[in-house]
Amino acid sequence: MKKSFGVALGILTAIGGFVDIGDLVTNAVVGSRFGLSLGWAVVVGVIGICVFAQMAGRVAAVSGRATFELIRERLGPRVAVLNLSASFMINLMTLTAEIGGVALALQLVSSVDYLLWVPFAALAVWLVIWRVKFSIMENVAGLVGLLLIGFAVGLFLLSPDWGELGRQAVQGVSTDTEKVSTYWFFAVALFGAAMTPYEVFFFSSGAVEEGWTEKDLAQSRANVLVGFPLGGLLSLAIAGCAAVVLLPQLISVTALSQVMLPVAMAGGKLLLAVIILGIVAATAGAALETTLSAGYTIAQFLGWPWGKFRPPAQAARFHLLMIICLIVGVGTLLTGVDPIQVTEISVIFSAVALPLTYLPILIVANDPEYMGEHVNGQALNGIALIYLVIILAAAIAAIPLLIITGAGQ
Amino acid sequence: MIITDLLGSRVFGPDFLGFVSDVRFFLESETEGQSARLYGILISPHARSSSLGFERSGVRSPWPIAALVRWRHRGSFLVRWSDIERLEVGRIQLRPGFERASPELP
Repeated sequence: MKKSFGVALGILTAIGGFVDIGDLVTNAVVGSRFGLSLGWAVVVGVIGICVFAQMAGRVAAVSGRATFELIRERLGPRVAVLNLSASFMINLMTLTAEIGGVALALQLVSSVDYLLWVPFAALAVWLVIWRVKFSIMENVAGLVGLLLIGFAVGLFLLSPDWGELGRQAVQGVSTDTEKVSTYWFFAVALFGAAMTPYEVFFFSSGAVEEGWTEKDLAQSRANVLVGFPLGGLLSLAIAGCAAVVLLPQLISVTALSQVMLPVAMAGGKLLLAVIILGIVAATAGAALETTLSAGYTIAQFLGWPWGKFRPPAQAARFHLLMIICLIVGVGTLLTGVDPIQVTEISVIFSAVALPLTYLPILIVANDPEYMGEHVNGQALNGIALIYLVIILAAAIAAIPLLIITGAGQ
Repeated sequence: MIITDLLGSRVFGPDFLGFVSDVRFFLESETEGQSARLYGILISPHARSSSLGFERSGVRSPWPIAALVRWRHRGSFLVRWSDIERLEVGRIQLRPGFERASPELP
């Protein structure tokens, strides 16, 4: 009974923890401009994150080593430093975007300017990291984040023409004003939003935090293979809401309030309140994950003691580093930079950095010295290699597309 | 000296042999906290880049990556630290009669 409860809880938190500010914004922007015609990119991204997180979780559970310890071990010092720098910077950008997301959501509740909320949001994140137990932190954020199911409820309440949505997903929409390059730019953005590197750093380091062993492999697999796809459905629901309400009115999303507009139309104040709470939880959860990931990556690379399972005094550099990252994030937001734009750029750069962390995990997942009998099977390797090609293609195309399209403008 | 000073150095016996692609350390016992000792250098005749750990065992998957890396590092061998005669910036001279060992872990 306790075990099945644990599995259910893991799955629920995986669903609630899947959507972050990147998914919220990118899916709504894409839904409002392309309808569901880019739904395939979400599906490709979700399968990708399942493959990646499943391998990273298994490697962490069996070998007890988290992602960046392995990267340093396997790539050699120069490539590993390049890898660390890129991953760390992108993670910092994502962290900034998530704190901005929390602040924007709080602005919608309170009508107090989001800039005033930014320091409080960061302070709250720090307090949780400093004081709250890892499992409680993860479960609360994930479970409250489940309120984002409100987007799916909203989509049903809008009683859309399902046939039309299906047709968009299969055939695309006639968007005369959009260029082909913009379409592909957003395909890469959706892919990057679904496969954000911090999700894997967090997932694998979290496995070490919680002391996973080979016995927990089934739980890890259930979290990833059930939780992430259901989280992906929430992403599609967000895009669907935007496609039904915003696309016909030619409203393109530039603010978080517009992401919620369709839900407010469908379900009124009550559903709106539910969604806002869900967004606060989802972005705050992701802010916690990215802040911890900043600490994890550097501490694992440099061999510092890390983890919330140690008292802060025993992992002082790990905690200090996270405080510095939060301060940098707050400082960046207080310059007045638009958090939505930071988000849009961060998902693109996520796609650029992805091969750097994917490849070492794929290699180690095949090494019996680390994995014993739990090495990748042939079928998984087949899928993983197809994804290596997709990930490389997205990474190579991302920056040229960013420049050609002027960030999708 | 740090490892980065060694990596990529050109290695010579009497003639050019290759590049330092990695170094091998060992631990004297299982005790935690002891420092690792340098055992030797890995020399790759064709490539300066890391061999991603494929030299340590007979792992051949995932197929195209393992095959590519193994091909780039074909003919790699391990030389003990004591077989090094002279160390210069970017250049390592081995003692006459140095031993070529297999890079695979015992």
